[in-house]
Amino acid sequence: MAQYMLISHHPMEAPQDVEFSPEMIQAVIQKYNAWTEKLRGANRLAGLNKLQPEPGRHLRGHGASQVVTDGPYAETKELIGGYWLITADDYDQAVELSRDCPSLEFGGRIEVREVEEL
Amino acid sequence: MQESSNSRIDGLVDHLFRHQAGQMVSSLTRIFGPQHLDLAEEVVQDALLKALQIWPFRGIPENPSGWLVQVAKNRALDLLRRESSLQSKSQELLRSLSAGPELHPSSGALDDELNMIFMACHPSIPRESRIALTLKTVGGFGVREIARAFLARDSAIAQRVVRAKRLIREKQITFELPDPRELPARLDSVLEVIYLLFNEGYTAHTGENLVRRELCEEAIRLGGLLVTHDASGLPKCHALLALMLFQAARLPARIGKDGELLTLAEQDRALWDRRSINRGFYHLDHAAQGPEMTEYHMQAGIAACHAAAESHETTDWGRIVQLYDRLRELNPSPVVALNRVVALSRVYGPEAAIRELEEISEHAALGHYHLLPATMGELLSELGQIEKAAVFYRQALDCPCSDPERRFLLKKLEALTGRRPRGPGHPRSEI
Repeated sequence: MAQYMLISHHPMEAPQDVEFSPEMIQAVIQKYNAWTEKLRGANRLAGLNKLQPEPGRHLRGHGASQVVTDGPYAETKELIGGYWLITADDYDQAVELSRDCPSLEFGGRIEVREVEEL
Repeated sequence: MQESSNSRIDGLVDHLFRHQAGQMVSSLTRIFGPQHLDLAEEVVQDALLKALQIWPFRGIPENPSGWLVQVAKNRALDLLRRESSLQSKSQELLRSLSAGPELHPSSGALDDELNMIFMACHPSIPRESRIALTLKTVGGFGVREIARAFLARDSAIAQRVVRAKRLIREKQITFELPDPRELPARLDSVLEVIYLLFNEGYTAHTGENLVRRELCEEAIRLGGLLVTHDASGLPKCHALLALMLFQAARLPARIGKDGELLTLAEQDRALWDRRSINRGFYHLDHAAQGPEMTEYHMQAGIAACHAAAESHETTDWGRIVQLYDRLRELNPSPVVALNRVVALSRVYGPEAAIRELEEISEHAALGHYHLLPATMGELLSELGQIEKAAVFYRQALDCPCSDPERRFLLKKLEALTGRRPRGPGHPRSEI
């Protein structure tokens, strides 16, 4: 058993061609709820956090040449939305548990990384 | 309407967002003014999207509606400070928005929603746009949802909504209920829109999508709003509501296991929604108070006869004929006449009905209406005149009709040419 971080990346631009009606928004929220409750119910949800949906700040370099800019990198078209911390036996299982994460239905991607026991 | 099993777990009843959106858009339109309908929608959409961002992580709040209202209020206040076009009203709006936890005055969100429907049905707005605007605002439907329901393109619906909003700005249409002189006409147009909505959901005009239940439910919900308010709770509103409730009660029984439409005679009445029927009778009662007798009254009465009958055979056809007689006085359309003939055949037999039917056939308007030859075919087959009946069924198949209707006619034709029919069938005039 180990902990895995499911990092949620999503495009900065919301998809233009998809209209989010109230009914649809509710359906998505209910899907998220069902997914997290499933993890919680199986005692696999160790934590979660949402990040403010904004580019934030970027630091680079040190000393005199340190630069702070509005993040992220100019080329990036994605934003990290947040993460879930789950427990699983291995990567395969972590991936299985991530498959029905609702953000995957809306152009997002999930990066799964094992947390190292220190 | 049943709650899905999820709603008990996550606290979100079916269509909560849709209905909440409808309420909030209505109230914010009152607060910002009808010319700022776009802003009202923007505020509401922002609030819903915020919920979409936050609730998956923070969980669904104890009071989801309250959360949405609070966020919408904050967003509205932001907008107020930013939008110069709202500056002139800003003091009163700030007061309006800051007071109390709700967006609407204590008399209720009901008033705001009702005002919204009445505004959407203003005579300057073309009928299609009235329907689209009503569904988009009070209904809380998305453009795509409306388009799918009406088998139209997204762009067509979007255009109708844009047009309605533009007319509201140009004609400076106000949010209040029309004054007493205009109210009756406006109310009639509201009833018409609601009934159009219901019919769109209830029947199929083309293709496979037979029943669009959500439109029916929305029409019933809007009808329910109407009758709760004094200014609009007239007997004819109760009549329309009763009619819709009786018809909607039959929805669970209308589709056979092969996906085809079942006639009243074929439907398993045990599947009819009793609660809807009871509500129907409650409103039918209220419809009876007062002197006005409208088409809705007659149609509701006819639907009530069916609802009250244990079986097709024991239906009070005599009373139905009487009601059709009166309906025909109010609406001499050939379609009404046709439906009357069918009821008549139950009381006076097929020959009498055929004579009446021959008279109606003269009517040009029925030229390509498949039910006319289909009804003739049915009556003739009851008399045992198989060949003649088959001719008429084939004629019916030449007329434009939906796929399920086509299958129904083919089924009838095969039954005729395959073997002699046993007992009385019933033409599909009422389902």
